[in-house]
Amino acid sequence: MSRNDYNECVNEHSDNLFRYCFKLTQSRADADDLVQIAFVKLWENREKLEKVVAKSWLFRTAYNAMIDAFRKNKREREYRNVQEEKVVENQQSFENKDLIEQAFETLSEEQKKLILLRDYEGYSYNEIADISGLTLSNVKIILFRGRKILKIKLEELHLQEYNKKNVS
Amino acid sequence: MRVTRDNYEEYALDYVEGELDTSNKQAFEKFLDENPDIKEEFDDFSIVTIAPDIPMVYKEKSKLYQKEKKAVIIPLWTRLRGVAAVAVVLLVATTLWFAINNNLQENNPPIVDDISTVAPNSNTGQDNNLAENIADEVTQNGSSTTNIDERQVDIISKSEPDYASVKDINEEESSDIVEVMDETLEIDLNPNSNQDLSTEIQEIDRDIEEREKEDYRTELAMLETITELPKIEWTATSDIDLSKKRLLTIKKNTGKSEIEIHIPGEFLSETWSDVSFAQFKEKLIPEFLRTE
Repeated sequence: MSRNDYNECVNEHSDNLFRYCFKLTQSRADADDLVQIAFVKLWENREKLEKVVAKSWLFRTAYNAMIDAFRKNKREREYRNVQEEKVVENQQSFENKDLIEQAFETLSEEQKKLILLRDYEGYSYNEIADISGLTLSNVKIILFRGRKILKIKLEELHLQEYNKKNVS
Repeated sequence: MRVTRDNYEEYALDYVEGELDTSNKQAFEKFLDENPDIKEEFDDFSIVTIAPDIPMVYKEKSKLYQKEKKAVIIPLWTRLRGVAAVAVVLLVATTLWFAINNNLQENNPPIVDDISTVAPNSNTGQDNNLAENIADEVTQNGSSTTNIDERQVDIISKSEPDYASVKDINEEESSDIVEVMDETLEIDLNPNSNQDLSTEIQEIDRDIEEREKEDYRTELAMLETITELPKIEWTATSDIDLSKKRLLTIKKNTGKSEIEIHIPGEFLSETWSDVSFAQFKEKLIPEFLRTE
């Protein structure tokens, strides 16, 4: 991959990669770091890579970098999630947050990553398996469970909204 | 395909999305009929997808771009100029170093008179023989000096193995040496060479000693009047001494009874002309032997 190819990859994929990372990390700074890590590695490995595979390579790199970051900050994140859940429970009635977003936040990190690769970037199951390093069967199972949880959670949230409106 | 409670999730998405072929679809539906609790999951199963948010733009693209670095072209002559400058500096420094070293060595003459305990230099014997042969030739052939000049120069250079640096001195200085040697040859070419030669040597020695004494006196006088003596003046006087000492060395090599000694090492850093035999002995002989 030449310098021009690389710069074209920046133009074509950096927005999507940033959106993907931001969706998962909920932090612009973290997403920025992940995008930069992915592109720096792409530049370092440009001679081994073709432009065609650059996008999936970028997502895979960002995905792995995210896993590393999550593992490093697991304890802190768990504490933060617990605190956030308490706040969310208390503020649910006052917030007008999108229900799907709320349902999405209930998924595990792995389920989130795979669902975003599928829904945001439109990758096939095989491509997701390639990016995530999971087997095709595992990808399908994780996605199915994620979808099921989303559906159940959405039903619950709708019911809660309905009840709130009736009470008010 | 055999669908079980353990692996049905693997086919579930394909079933919902309509990606299973006919046979597999039938097998999956058969499994759902056999497992009504699981079938409930699929009765109203709808795939909830996460729609992308408003398109996001990554604003830091400029950090990611790899720009071509402009190559700085340095003209060849500029680079060569630098190399040439370094070469010239090195050359000058090396020449100065050799010149200073030679001056230091010449200021410390390697010849000690009348020390019978020191072994003679082996090269000197051969060169003395050569010098004798030349003298004989001269006495036989009359006063012709043309060929002998060159040979004499060779002998001189061979008879001074410790003065190899003489060859490194610039041409001007070496031409001076040749001129001085020519003068000495005129003395050598006298048919009454052997006796006259020793007397000539003694006269020259005396002359040099007197000159050195005079120089020493003038230096002392200068030191009394001048507190700080410039180093350049010292160098200039030592150059004069250099030629004298070389002449002395040449003359002594042509004689038979003289012995040339070169004592290497730090000991030569002092001025040999002022070192007496007693001082020499004191410096060379270890302390425990001296006390005995």
